[in-house]
Amino acid sequence: MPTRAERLERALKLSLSAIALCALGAFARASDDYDAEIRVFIAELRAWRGGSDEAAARVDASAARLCDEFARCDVSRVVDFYRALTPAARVQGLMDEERFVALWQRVRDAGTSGIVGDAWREQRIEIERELRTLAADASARPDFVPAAQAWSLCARLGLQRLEQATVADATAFAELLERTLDDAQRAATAFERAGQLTPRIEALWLLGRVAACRGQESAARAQFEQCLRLAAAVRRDDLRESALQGLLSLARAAGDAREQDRRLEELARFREPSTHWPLARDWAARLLEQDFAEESVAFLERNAPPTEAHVLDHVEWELLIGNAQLRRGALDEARLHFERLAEAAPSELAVLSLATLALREERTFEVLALLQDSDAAATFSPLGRERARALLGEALHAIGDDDGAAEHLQAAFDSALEIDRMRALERRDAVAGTAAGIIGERLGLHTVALLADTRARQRRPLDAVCAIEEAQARSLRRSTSPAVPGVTPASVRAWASAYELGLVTWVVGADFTVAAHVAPDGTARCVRVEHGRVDLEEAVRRLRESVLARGAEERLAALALDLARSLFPPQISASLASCARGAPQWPRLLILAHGPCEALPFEVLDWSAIVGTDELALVASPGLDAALPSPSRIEWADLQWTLCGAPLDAAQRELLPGAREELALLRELHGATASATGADFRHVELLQALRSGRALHIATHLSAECDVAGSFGGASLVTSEPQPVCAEEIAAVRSDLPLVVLAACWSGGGAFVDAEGLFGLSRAFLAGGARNLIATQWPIEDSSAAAFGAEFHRALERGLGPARAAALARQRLREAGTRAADFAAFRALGRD
Amino acid sequence: MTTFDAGQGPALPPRCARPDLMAALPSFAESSPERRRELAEHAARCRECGAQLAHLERAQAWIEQRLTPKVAPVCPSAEDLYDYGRGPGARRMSEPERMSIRAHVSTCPECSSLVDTLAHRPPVPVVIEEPATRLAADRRRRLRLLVPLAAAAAVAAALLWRGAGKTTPDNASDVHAHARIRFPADPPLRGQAPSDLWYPRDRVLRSSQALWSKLQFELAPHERASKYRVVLYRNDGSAFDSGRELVRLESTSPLFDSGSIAFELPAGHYTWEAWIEVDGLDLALGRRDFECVVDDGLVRELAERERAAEPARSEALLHLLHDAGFVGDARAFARTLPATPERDQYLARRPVR
Repeated sequence: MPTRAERLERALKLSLSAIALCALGAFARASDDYDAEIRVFIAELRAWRGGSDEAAARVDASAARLCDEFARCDVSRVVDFYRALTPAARVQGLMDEERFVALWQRVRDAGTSGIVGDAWREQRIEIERELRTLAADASARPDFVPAAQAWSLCARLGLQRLEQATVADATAFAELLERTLDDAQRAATAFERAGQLTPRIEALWLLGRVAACRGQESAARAQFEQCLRLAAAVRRDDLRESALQGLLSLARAAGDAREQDRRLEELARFREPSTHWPLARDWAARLLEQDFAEESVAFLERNAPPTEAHVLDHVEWELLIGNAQLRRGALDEARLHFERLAEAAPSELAVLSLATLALREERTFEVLALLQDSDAAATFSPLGRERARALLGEALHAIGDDDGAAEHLQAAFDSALEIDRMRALERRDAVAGTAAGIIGERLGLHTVALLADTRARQRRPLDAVCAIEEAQARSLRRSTSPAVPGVTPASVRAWASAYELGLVTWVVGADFTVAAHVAPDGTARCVRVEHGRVDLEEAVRRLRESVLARGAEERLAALALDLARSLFPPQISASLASCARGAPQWPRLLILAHGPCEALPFEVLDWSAIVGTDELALVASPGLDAALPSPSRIEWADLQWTLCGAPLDAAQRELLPGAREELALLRELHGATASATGADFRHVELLQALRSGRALHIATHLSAECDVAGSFGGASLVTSEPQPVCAEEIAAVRSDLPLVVLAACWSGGGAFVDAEGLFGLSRAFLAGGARNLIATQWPIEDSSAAAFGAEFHRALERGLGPARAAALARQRLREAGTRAADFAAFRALGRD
Repeated sequence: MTTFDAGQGPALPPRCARPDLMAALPSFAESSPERRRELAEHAARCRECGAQLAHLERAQAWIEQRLTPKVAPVCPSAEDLYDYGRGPGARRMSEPERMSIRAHVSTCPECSSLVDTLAHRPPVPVVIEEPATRLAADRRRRLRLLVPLAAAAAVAAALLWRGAGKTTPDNASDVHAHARIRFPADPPLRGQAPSDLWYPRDRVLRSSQALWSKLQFELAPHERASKYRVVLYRNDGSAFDSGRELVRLESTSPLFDSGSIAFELPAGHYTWEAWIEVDGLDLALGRRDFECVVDDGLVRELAERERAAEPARSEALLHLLHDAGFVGDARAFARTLPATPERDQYLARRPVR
């Protein structure tokens, strides 16, 4: 019998030999003749339709080759359709098609020669009229395919108007939407009847775009995904690209940056940014959004649209590179590009860009002159008006006109919230907790920070806190109700009074941060901190790295001090210390950790320097809950527990031996408990445990390979079955558990969504209604996890709540000499 | 605890009356059930054989315990290892399967080295002639990959069929000496949070003259990356300093030298930022800090240990560096040792948090 190594070697040899032969064979066939065969088929089909009987046999032969050699057996349906027509009908169809092609060319020529504005509007009306006449004529004939083509182009023209929001009147918009839907449906049905797969893909793609315009995101996604599959089957890269652009626009509308990146990377597999401007444009915009201004400039310079490209491509390039130069502080270069932009397209984009530059150059009155012109502003799109208001607010803030600034900033803020509310109502079919960062993507946290700073300067700090909380982690509040309840001074006061030290929160803008503390008595303080998003992200990264590094204790202490001083400036620190004096033992502080702060290990900060005591219990939350705080009536010592985990693999081997021991210890500690461990730790058992209402301790692996499409980056919990439990399922259960202990690795992590926070397993449990959660901020040593678990559960048995029990357990581990990497990993999340 | 020497039970004869049975005791485990029963009955009556049998049973239990792996009792099949190593044409494994094999591979040097063999992919081509006909970008890219893949696969297959793939070190005695080195081990973690920026990280050792080892940038390999780029900054060690750019480096490989600048890095704090180019797009991999630490005490201690005989010398150097947090230096030193499964397993370890 061959040994294991021999079997592996044999498998390797066979595979390598096979690959060598296949790859060399593929290369020897230097070019793929699929395109050539398709061209033959189209030419012969055209000849046959034009009256050449000899071409009929060549059409059949080509169709047979396409089926046999290229798996395109669908073309036989096309042949059957034309065979069923009389020769006269085939000729008439061809003539109709030529009418369509002439109209199509007029549309294309208008685009390539840069006809815009009224000139294009007039041309469009005429072309559309002719298209409808053609559709009416051809639809009554045996060869109705030209009618389908005309409907398809009409739908395209309609969509262009819908998507560019050039239809101001709501009734007219609704009518156009219905007409466009009707055109696309007619086209799809007619192409299907004629057996024409490739043109049908375009009609399906149009239906996807119509669905997106109607706010039917799931339907749109399904159509685009179908187009992507069919386009791959017919080997049409242009249609693949269109489908991907559709999916990309959905991701952009939802503020889902990860999805945008994924789709762009997919597109780059068959399009090159140097020759394909839409790809280069979207990628440069992503680089800029991530604050990589230098790289964005270099990328744009490398991938500029060619001279002969559409005029709008050049306009987009000037706009993007101007903004990238502005962000990297090269103001002269930025001005050069914006002036070229204004010359080429004197639109709202040029006005807004020049105003942004003037603001940066501290020529504030020029900003006011540019944007306070109400006639010009009236021509702006809704998004342009929003941006103009935000810029005006910023300019007024810069010259100290706080009332004026507040008016404009609040208007821009309210407008973005309204759009977010509308989108939430439209997206009822989406999973709760969808990462739709409308505030982050559309309004920008910079504007929220400006509004909070303005409110603070107006001595209205509670209003500042309301703005900070209203704008961030909205999907968490939406998980209980699609119409997100507003954050009011009363609700903020109620939350602050529920904790002995009140609450702290931050909004991290592009260039600065506003920190706020609300004491239990409702007194609020706001302080501007001169560190923006990039600064704080870097600082948090450094702190996390030094927590995990061996031998870096001094650096850890220095970095923790830097961060504590910045995020808890003296006014906030003094306010906290004042609350701590006279507070009971282990006072609790609610930390609303937004933006980069969510990843900050607050547990390693020197709290005695900030508050005056190390003995405090931190309760972290990604945002305020929609419901008002209610006093906990839970007897923590009497909790009923379900203990889950210690999964087995397919060969019944233990994946985590330490987890079994941990669960056995907890079973001993709590007495009678429900449990699902080892082979019994299955998908259904975990979901049942989530619905049970009992406290839940889960000791298992975390995986990121969940196939369910959603916002949580594929996060899931491994069970003893191949099927993991996905974060989306956890969020959808609505568990309302009093306490969940996630003794899995890095369970507090996730993918970051601007203005929303980290989307991972923790967010799924909180969105699913768990009141409290103990999660880990990075992978932890198996032994430390078990030790923390034991200390934490013992503290609960003593009647302490989760935050205090976690704080005590951390302290015990620290006293026992455990490194910060292990004791500080555990975070109490939720409400306590 | 009951022992035969404790004098409990009936008095036993001091000397063995059945030397034939006494001689058969060492093969007790391999004997037939009848023979074992006979031997056990005799041992229960004979003090000398009783003690010997008890000793044999303890030894057997100890050996069984040592031979039974705690995590994975049986090595995975060759096919499973092949799929885990993601060799060409491998099937996609389920997450539990993957985790189970990963747990096993981390404790089994033999399986680990076999998986490593699979993990090496053919290199990315540097130059390729443009095809005569205009092909779609993805097809062109596919062909670019196919040629070297074919060549590499053909060569590898030929070598394997001829049995030339066996790794026989030239200096067998040297390898034998180094095979006894105990490489530093890290405690088991619950899961991983892998980063694309592997080394340098945390602390890099330097004496008052120079860096202790050659600085190399190690990134996670990306299948489709055509270029790897590193930007190195110096910062003042505070939380918020964005730093001053020192150098930009480019490579087609994820492991590349920092060039001559590395040897001039003074003590202090550094940040490196990594990028890859995939299908013409620049992808940011992230940023990471490291500190060049002057630790003359440790450098002296390392110099003292240099004089020790192998394998104590290598083992001491490795552990001194690794335990003090100079993991990149420990790895650089490990690279200078002759290849053994243990060394390769140590070098194959990736930072997981």
